Amino acid sequence: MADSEIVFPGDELGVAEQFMPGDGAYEEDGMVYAARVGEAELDPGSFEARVRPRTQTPATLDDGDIVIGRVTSIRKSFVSVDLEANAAEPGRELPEVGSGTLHISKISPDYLDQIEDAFRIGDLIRARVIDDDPSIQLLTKDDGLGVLVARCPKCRTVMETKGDGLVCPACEWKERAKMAADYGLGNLLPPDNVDELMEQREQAQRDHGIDFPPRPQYSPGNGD
Amino acid sequence: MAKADAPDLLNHEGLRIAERDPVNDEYTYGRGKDELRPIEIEAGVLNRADGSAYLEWGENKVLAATYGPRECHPRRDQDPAEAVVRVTYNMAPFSVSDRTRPGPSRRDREIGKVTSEALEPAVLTQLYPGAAIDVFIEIIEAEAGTRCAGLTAASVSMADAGIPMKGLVTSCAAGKIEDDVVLDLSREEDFHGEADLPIAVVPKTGDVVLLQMDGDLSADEFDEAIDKAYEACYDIHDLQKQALVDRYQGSATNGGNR
Repeated sequence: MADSEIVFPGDELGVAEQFMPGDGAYEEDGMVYAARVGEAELDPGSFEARVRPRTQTPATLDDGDIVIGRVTSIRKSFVSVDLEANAAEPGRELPEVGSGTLHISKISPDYLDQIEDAFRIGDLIRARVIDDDPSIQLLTKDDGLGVLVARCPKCRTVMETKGDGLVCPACEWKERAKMAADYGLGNLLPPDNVDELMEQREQAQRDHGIDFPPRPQYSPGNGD
Repeated sequence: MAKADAPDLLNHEGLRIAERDPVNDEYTYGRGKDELRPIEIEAGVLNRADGSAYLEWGENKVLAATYGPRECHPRRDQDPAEAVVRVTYNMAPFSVSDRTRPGPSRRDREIGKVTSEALEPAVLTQLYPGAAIDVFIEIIEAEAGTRCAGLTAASVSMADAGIPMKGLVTSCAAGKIEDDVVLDLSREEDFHGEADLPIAVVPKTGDVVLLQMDGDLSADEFDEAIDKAYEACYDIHDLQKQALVDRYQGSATNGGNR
């Protein structure tokens, strides 16, 4: 790759009348300057002056990003998630962004009677950002999203999958969960073989799954 | 003017001490009055830091590391409008000839404070409200001018971390020895000289972001010292940029945050 000219913080990129300060640039006193080390990029189409960074950059969080977080509180209709990292940039901590909110309707593709059937406090989860302004809203409906690691609520042992549910290897506590397809495998981003993993899980559920007592199903117009 | 057991700071040709032979306690002369000690900077030396730099300046050896922007703890230090820049300056116990007690001393804390106040105006802090940018400066070996060396290294480590800045911050000192104003005091000159004046500059904007003085200077000497240190900052700025070029030469851009 050819080495085009590297700009440094404070180098002039252009005049403010000509360009808007884009990613990695700032405007001061009618001029646009570079704010980081990289290659200058003057976009005549969008009238933006940007700096493509050569260095690492601070982690960001935008719509559509996959995040890793921890469930900190469960209310009747939503859970709060402490955001630990952007799964695509695990090396950098997130700048203060507060916590994310995950509404009960965005947790699972199926009807969910109560959130405890999907998550427990302390679960490490993978979610997708569906809104980052004014507050961060999350979604875990996809097969690749959901719980990555959960601990047994009785003895804090790391739980293992058993078909559609989780079981504690130490005390045999069983519970339901909205697991990511690759629960317990240690991935940050969803793997490529999500469909395959889901088929294996369905097979396992048929072979030796846990028989949970049925939960009420959603029926429209039942009064409340 | 020099104290009783002090070496001659200037030889008969007006040259300064360039090197000391510790075995025979003899000095070699050869540094000009406006000459910096040799400086070497390397960016990106630590794997686990978000950005880092190693700097040797004469016999000073300094490591600087930057972390963040990240969530600011304790939360009372947060600023809801902008990021805060926190600097920890620490001298290794073995960095000076008489062991220093480990842990932050009064002096360490002051240097951390003035360094953060020198770095902060150059950072686009409004982009990360509520966050903290933590900078750690470790003095591995000290030979006068560690605050300048630390600040210069810290700025390179911040650029290495991709922190958006208005410009790099560069620092250098000037001082007075045997009635002469000279650039960049060495250990003997700092100890036996009359004055030391460290400054820090954002060379891209020309702003002076740190100015301290130890000792006495007349108004004219003060102006002369400022001019010398200010000018030298531009030379050091080139070295900082070269360190970043060397680190990223040939590597691809990482595409940015979009």
